[in-house]
Amino acid sequence: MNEGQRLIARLIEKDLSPDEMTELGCLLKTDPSLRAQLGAQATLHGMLGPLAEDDLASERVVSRYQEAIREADEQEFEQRVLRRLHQMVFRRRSSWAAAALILAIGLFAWMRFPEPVATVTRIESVSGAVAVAPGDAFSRGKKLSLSGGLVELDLPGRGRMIVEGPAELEFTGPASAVLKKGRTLLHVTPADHGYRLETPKGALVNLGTEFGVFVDEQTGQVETHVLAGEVKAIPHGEITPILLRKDEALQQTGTGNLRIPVARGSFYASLPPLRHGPPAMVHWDMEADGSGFIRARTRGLEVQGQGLQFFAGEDRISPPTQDGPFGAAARFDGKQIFAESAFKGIAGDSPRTVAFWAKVPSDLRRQEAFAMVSWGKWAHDDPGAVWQISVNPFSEDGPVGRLRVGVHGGMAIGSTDLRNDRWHHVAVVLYPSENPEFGQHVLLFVDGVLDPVSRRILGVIDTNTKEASHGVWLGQNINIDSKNRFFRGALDEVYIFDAALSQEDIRALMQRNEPPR
Amino acid sequence: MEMKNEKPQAHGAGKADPEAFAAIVRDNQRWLRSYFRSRLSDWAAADDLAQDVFITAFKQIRRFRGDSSIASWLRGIAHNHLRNHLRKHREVALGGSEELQALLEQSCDQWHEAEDISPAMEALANCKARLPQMARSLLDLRYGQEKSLYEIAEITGKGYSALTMQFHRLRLLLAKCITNELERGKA
Repeated sequence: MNEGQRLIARLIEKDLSPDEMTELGCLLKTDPSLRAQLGAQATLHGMLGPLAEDDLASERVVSRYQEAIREADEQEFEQRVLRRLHQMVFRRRSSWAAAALILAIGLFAWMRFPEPVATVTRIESVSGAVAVAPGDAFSRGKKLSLSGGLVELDLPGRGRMIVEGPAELEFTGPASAVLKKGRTLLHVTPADHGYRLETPKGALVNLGTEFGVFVDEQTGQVETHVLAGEVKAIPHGEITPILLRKDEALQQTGTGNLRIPVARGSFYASLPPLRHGPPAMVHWDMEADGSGFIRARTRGLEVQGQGLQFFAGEDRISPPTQDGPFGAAARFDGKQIFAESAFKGIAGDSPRTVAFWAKVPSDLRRQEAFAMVSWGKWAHDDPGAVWQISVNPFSEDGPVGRLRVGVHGGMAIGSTDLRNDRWHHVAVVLYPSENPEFGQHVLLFVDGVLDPVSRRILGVIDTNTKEASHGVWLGQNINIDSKNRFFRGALDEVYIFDAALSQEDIRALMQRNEPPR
Repeated sequence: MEMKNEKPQAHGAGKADPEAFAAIVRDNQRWLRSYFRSRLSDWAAADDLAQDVFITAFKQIRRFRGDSSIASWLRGIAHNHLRNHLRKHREVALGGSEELQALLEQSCDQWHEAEDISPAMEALANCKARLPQMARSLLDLRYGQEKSLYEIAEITGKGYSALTMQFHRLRLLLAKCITNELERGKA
């Protein structure tokens, strides 16, 4: 490397003294090839930074520029109005114009004050590096970062938004945000349509009234599902927007845009309402007392008969037990053992929580996964009539080994693999809503933490307990004609409540075996 | 990463459409920022100037007749902004002195002056991908994570002067590679 090159290298790093600058200037004047090298060095020095950015970082820059353009546009508008008013004041000398000027200045001052653009109204089971609480307000430029859980936000005068973690959302203005990862449902009032949501694949403009967006951080894929009204999608690099109407969905990948079937159940439409008073419940603690069955502990629910009776095929047997997290647990062999209660379960679309401890073997076979808890009346042509909690055995339905809740027609599958020979605390919550739909109103918890739903299919919920010929089953598939009939593993401290429990309630069950009062 | 040459839809008889204009920002921001970063030592100031160019373009979009490419039009605005900026803030000029800055200005437009810079950007991405892992890691520290040479020296245990020369060689290597790639493209 010659002296000229050395000086260029140091010039780029802002490391030259004035004398060295003069020296380099002299060399450059007489050496065209050195000038070309300086040009190439400086050009590459400038190009390498923007080139190193991934799509997300690049999109952040675009959002920042767009926001600045919007602000400049607003300022220009303000100046035009003020100029006009100024002219009015001087031309007409009107006190009305002066008053209008004062009002306008006040109005603009108020507009420019950093008003919150979103306020947290509800949270459910949230976790993340920064705590989020109801009442927290987000102004322009602030970020919401969640490891898990649900947050409902009020967008003042515009509508509301539900964000499901893990998620990262940045509020860039009163009617704009950037979703970097996660799932969100946006409900905008028709009068205030125009809310703009940026994703790594483009912009989405709400034309009223409800749509869900999922940004998959792993694959970079973005899905937009329109549940009501219309959405304008503007993919990066394209000027012509794609109009999505109600019940239409768009999948954006690295290779293009694909229209896909809408998945209404993929987004939480509301958060569970707060519970008041102690919920009614039935509890089987699995402690055998020599009576040949497990006694039920109840509160507010009528349970006929003697409690939980165990069977091996058609024969009544004493409860087969083993050690559990709290005393004894019930053991199921995956071949013929199951338990039946006289309690018929929670009916219709009423809210409910089922919580229990489960130990699932690491070598669980496909035919041993149905079911841990089930009730209702199974019929091929009666969707939604059963309620069944299992371990998912079918890869075509979702990740295998995860918590699976099905209603015949609808299902939700969690994310945590339960197959590891360890005890896990499991809870499934159906929370009340005007029109509860399976995918949108079910929460899954594993070990006291909200288990993100990896796959869900929307379905009606109308658990038929009236026509069911049996009560709640443990260890048996609600469809007894299935080849996958019996569960293998162990269960302990099974609770059924007639209400939606909170995460705090569920953690009290898990940690202290204490039902809510 | 590309410089769009087609007539933009963002202009018309009335006011600019911010959504259509967003596409112009998206398509041109990378090369425009690299244009300023090639000439200024302060990258934040360079990015702010690129922002100012877009704001000016947005306000003046009605004046754009579509006779030249949108990139050429933006480049003209960028040139004026750079000149005005350097009048007030001489200290951020990459050239350091007035004389060196003028020489740098004359010589560093070999790719930015092209009607379409996207082949050069693509060639750079290809050339960078072909570098050894160690070299790519160094470039990532400097240009991806925007660490200073002192910080990189601390991380890697290499001397400051050695790193200065190593980055120079890497840029030289990349410049040659881009030129070859572009020549091959012409053939």
